Amino acid sequence: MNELVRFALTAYYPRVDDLPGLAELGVDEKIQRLRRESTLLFWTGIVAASVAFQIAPLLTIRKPLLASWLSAEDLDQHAHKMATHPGYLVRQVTFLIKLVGGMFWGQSAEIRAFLDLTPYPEDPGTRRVEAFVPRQGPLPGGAPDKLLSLGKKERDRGRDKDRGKGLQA
Amino acid sequence: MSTASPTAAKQHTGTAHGHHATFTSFAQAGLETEVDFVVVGSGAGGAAAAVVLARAGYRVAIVEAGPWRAPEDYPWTTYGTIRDLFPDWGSLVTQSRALWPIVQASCVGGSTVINSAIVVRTPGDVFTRWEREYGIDGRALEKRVWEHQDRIERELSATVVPPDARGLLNTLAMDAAEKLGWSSHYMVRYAKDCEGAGQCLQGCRKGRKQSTNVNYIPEVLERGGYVLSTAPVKDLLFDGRRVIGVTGRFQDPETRKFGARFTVRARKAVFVAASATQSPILLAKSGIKSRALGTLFRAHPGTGVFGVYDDPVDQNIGATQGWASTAFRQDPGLKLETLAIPPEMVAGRLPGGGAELIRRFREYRHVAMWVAAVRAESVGTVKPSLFGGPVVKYQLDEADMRKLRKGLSMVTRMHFEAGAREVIPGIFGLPYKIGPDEIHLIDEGPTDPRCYVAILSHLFGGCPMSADPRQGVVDERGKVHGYEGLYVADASAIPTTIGVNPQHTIMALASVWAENLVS
Repeated sequence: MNELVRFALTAYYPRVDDLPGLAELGVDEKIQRLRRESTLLFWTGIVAASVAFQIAPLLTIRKPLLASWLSAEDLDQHAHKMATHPGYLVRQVTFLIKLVGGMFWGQSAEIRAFLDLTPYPEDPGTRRVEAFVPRQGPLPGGAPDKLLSLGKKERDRGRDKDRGKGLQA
Repeated sequence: MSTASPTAAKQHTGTAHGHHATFTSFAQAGLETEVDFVVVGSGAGGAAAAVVLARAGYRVAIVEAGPWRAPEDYPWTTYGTIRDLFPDWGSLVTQSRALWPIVQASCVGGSTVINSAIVVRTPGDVFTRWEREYGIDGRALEKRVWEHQDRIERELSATVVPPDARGLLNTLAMDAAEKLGWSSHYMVRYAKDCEGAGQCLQGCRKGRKQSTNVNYIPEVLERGGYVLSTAPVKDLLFDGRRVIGVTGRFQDPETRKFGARFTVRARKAVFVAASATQSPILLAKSGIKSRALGTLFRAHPGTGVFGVYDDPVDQNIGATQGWASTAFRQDPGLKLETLAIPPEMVAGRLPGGGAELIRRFREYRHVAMWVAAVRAESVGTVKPSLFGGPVVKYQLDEADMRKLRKGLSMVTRMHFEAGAREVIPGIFGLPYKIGPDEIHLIDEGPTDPRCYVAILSHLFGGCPMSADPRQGVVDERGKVHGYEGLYVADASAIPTTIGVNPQHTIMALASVWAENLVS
């Protein structure tokens, strides 16, 4: 099952030039985790979408083959055409694969580095068992220089005078 | 797995003096208690009602289906957000021709944790319409709602997005609106000293956004109240036609298996504020008889276009949402605004797949997303499924689809005014990118909802308010017609769309209805 899902996800996010593909970004561990953590409904949807991806080349590139038997070039065409298919349900099935693959691929440290973004830390996944009141004191950090210089320009243009125009529709 | 520990992360803050009960193990004992008021749900409506009651000296119990996550527990990633903050992994979609996702949170604080905390006062014409169509004393309600909105703005630090937190996503939109001569503004939000971290959708880890879990709910605890988290209410308890409490079983948020039973009895009343999709379901499953139950479900569906600029925009640096125009609220019935979505969501949102998708994604730093939300008149229903969850049937009619299309055309025009070289409309049947001379393609575009990737985030109705029990579930005091001790205090009671972000309206309405019981 995991292999089936892996095949579909990696077909949508292949390596292109210097941008690594999902297959190179620890996808197996991510799929195992998804299977473990997601709901039965969500996981079933992903598996069903992956099955549809396997059997749909006839719909997209007119070849009566399973997707896993296609050449690399045909597979890429198949992935693109499924995502842009005239049939709404076909596009929706694809949307689920793209959503999950997009999360795995787009939040990886390598892709974030390409975008000049720092890597995401690990999601804590914690919750409160005690009655917890966060205090609202100043927290470490501050706006980055890029925002500060833009803010200065805004003030220079007099755009800091609005005292709540947006309150009233 | 990373969600395994239900413990605190590094704790550098205080602990409230109150009673918080949550799922801890399958061996934990059941909980039975009695308070003055039970509030089901801890989002905008539930928290606002609860704090009014607690300040009046009543013992209040807030019962929330989701877990309590403080800002330092919030996820960083979209994956973590869907896992930790969305109910059922965000799988609730409209079941109509188009399957549009319904965006809500399930956690202490509800959707106030994941929204942009946008503050807009309830427009006066909304009360006029409620009076005309639903027999509500609109003028009296208007006065009291605005009084509470005054108070809430002070308490939750409603402020304009500061210049240093705006980011290009928002300042470019202001540039465009000024060039076009359109009235617009930087948003007012419940946020204290925003730094433009761009993490509103994942929950503000800096604790700047004033979600109800960092203010009103702790206050209820401090005043001797109770919070039950991971505690989905299964049934209301009745004594004849009087509602006297709620019951359910604690739920492990990781395995979703049920544990010990809880029962909370209310000496005075129960407020249901579980959201526009959940409140009607709870009432229906508990046997409330009302022909209006589950009807008049409405929304502000929205979708956006990406402008592509020569220089990087870096839309995730700066406020997630910071600019808006409500100038078109009445005619044609639209709200225009900015919305930054993280790279991993853009990767899934851009049209195409395979190598072509990756090539398109390369422009991420250069794109800005601006959206149009429709003040829709279409109505739908919310009914329980065989498995107990909500089934939402809702679809925009032709007139509303034309509004949506018009809104996308308007934000496209704005992008070109702001200097975008191209726009990615994301509408099926249109080219991947269009230039300034091709805006007419959107104006003439499809009105089939299946051609658009939209979401529903502002929800209304399902337990609509009306003086007439045949038309509404609750009266103008939020009380369920035909029952004693049962009130609805969330967006499900709002019988129409309002054309602006609803959190401020929901909080004020809930406050008014809670205050009625205090006085």
